[in-house]
Amino acid sequence: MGFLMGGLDAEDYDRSYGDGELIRRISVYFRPHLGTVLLVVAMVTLGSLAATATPLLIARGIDSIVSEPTMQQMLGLAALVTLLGILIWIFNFVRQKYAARAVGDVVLALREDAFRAVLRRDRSFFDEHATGRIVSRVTSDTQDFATVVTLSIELFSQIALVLVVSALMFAINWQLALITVAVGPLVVGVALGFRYLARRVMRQSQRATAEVNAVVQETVSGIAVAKNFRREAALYEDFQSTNALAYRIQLQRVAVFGSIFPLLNTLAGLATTGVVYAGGLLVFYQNVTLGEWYLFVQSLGLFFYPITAIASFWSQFQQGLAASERVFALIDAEPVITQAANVAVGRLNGDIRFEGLTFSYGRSERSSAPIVLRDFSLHISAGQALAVVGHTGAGKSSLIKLLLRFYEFQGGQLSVDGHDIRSLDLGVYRRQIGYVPQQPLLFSETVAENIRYGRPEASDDEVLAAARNLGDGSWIDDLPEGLESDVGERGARLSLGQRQLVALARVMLQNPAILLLDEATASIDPFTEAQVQAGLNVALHGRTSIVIAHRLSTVVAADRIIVMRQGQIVEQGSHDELIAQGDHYAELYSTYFRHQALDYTPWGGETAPIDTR
Amino acid sequence: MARATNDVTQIGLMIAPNAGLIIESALILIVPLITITLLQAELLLVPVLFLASFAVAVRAYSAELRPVAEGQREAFGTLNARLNEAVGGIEVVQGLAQERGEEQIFARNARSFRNLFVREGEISARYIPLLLFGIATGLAFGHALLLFSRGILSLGEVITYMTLIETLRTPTYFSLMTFAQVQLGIASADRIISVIEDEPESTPDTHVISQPIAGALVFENVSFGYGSSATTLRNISFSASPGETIAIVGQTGAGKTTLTRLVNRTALAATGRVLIDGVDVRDWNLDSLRAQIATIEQDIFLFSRSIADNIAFGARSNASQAQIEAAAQLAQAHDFIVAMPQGYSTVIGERGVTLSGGQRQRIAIARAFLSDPRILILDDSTSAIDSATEDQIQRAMHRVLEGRTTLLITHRLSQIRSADRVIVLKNGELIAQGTHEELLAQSAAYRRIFVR
Repeated sequence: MGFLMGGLDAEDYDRSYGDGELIRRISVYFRPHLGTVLLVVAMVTLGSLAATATPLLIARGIDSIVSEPTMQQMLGLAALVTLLGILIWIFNFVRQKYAARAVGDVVLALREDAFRAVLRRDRSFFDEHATGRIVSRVTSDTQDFATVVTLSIELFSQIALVLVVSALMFAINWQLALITVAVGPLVVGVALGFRYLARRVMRQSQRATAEVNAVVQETVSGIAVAKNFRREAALYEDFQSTNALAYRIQLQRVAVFGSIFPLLNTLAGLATTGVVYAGGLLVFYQNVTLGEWYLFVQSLGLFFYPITAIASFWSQFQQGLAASERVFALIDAEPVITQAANVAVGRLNGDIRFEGLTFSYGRSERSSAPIVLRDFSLHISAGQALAVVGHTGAGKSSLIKLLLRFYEFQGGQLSVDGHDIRSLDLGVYRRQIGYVPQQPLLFSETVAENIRYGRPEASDDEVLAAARNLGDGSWIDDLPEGLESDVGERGARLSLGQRQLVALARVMLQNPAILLLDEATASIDPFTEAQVQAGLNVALHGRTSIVIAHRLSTVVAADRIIVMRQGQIVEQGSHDELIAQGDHYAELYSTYFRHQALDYTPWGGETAPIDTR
Repeated sequence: MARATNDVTQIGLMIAPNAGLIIESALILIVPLITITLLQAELLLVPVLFLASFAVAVRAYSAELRPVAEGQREAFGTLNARLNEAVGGIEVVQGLAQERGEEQIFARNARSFRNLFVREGEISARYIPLLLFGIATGLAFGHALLLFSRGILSLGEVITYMTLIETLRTPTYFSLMTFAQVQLGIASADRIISVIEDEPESTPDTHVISQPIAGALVFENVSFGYGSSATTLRNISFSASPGETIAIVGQTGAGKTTLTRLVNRTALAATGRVLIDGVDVRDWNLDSLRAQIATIEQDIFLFSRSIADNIAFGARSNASQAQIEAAAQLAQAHDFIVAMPQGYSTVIGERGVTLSGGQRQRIAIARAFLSDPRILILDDSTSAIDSATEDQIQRAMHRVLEGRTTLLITHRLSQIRSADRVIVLKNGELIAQGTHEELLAQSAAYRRIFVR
């Protein structure tokens, strides 16, 4: 199926499935709904038969009235036609209703499987693939898949109709049938040619839309600046030219799309003319009855509509197959992290030991990704507060991520309380680790619900206590509606500092044995900073903790500071000792921490600022 | 953003193929009706009855479909939003071992979408016009046969009539596909119109005061709220003499940024007055007012153009390269600009280089130098990663404040300390104001920042 994925960027876990394999995978999802599927198929067949029977009956009626019509016969015929009309509606109703049900259920199952697969992936997967792309596999691609199924049913019913109608036409008069059927390939040809053209025009128009989007986006975001400087007119002119371009391309698109149906209609019209003319001649020479001639003219409509529909749905059908291929690739991707055993540990003390550990972010040992930690050893005894400092890329965050078992390491040992981390039941283990990332994610719920996230069964009082224990708890009063405040999408309604406090409260409620913090670099407002620091003091008390410190106050408060450089520990000790040594730590201090000191002035020793003009 | 483009596309979809189809369908209706009238006026009975009931049925159909279709869109949005959060925050989900809970939430959202999908399927399955068409065909046939038997219609006319009835099939089917689309289009048009009509500066600009600003700024019992109920600012009063720097401190959400918006009339006070040089901002000519007030936003916006263009954006007339460079020098931006491959011609943004927060801020400061405002509003929440950048940012700021009345929102302790006066906001109220020393003595909250 790979050839169908043109224009879509393939990702490295994508794989190609043979058509047979793909159909087998899809059919597994339909198996629980076999009854429904059979019902739908039956309805499609019945619907096609009924749709064909209507003109047939009318033709019969026409033939019969030529001969000897009784009133009863005629009314009977009319009643039958009415009945058929009602039957068609009923068949269609049952088909659509149950098809929607089957498709809805299959898509639901597929989505759940895809999401479950996402949750099983380790961090390297999320590093390599953007959130948006993963999300679109779970929701949009499965939606496209639904479209395919619906279309397949539609296609199937159209094909059934074409077959029944053709059979009928050949049975009545093969000469006329040949004329009709001969136009079929022509219609398909035109439709295929149109697809080629349409794809080119669509691509251009998508680019134009992207361009307009970009300009609109910039204009809208820049409108405040433009207003402040009173430059709205200049922006508008810029937008005008882009818009004019997009307008021209959209016109082209409409012209191409607008011409297809008239063209197909013309073809159908020509065929009709042919049939009407040839049929007229045949009627004249008595080879065909009047009713049969009527039937042919009617069948043309029944014949061409499905052919046009099949041709125009084909590309959507292919897109949907490619989409289902992408969904299956996501479900089938191999996990990198494997646990050797599932030991459910009891309450941890928090004694952590890295021994000769080697780690790189590459997926395998053959990978060319640089080695982050090489032969790294570190022992943190239970209850110790460790601050880790160093330049970007020194390997600080890797320590935390390995302890969370987000990544697999390639050599050496990592043990917690003497247990190999690879032998632990990850759910039980991770619940004892409190992790606050640099940009803590909150879900768009209330503050209380976010605090409860790690322990959904916690009572309101416990939630309140966890929040009150951070600092003096006054941060809760600063929230617009206290713990019931809605945090907004991804926590956007709170300041970064407030988000960190919520995340801290969340891990405190979890009562972790080990605390892992990646402090934020962004400066937070001074009020919140004071509160976060107070919160941290509570959180760190009596627990093993590793803090990647960006705040001077945290570094100074730690039991022990390690300085990392290129995956190695180059210095360790307390703040005062390390400053006194005047080596790596002292350099880091003047690079990153000096401006955070309370007595900082931007011009160092100078008392008066430089003259401004 | 979604509104500007998605909705326009929706309207496009509505007008391009669908309005066309509807017009075509209307023609397909009218032509047969005229022909039938010519054939035998009495034969109009069934088609007219059909069309009347068709119109009623289609209305009912779309009224029933619309809420479900909208609900489906909403459910899909909810599903996507939570999924985005869960995937984006996967480290939280996995770190707290909440995979099971996320699965349940996802399943719940996916199921509510599925239910609406099935509901929509049922509604469109129950498309009554199709039933009406089937019945109409039978009735029409009966009617035609009846007239034939009375000798009113010829055989040829019966065939013609039945063929014309058959042409009504197209609009019956097309309306099934297109009405939903048209309805989405109408909904989108509504939303775009609501954006167009949402013009925040709708106060008539008949204000005549247009003069150089000296820079005296007074807030008199000012209150402000977004929407009707919530009050973002309550009863704020303070004043600044020309050239003074006022630092505004407080937590995010305390109303600091909102307060500054009242100065250049991006927002208008609900009660109370904001005075510049003793004149209510409402009485100033908007051009004159804004030309003399510059704002450096917290989230600095630069256009995807050259650095020089971005700096020159602030100038009232065309700025020369020398003026641009001079402004950049003052803003401590010159050095990093010339270090770039194309110097001042370097293009910023999606197609060009990415600048750090500190660099963006210094370009904005250069822009402000060129516009030479009398009042400066500086929303400074940029983080400094290292002390050297911090030094440069602070020097640039110090220069641009010089000689201008400045409202400074800042997190930087050294700037708060060196401001002429500090006002402390909390939940929209001004809880303390004074010099650094006064506040250290007065305010416990303030003291906590500086005494650790």
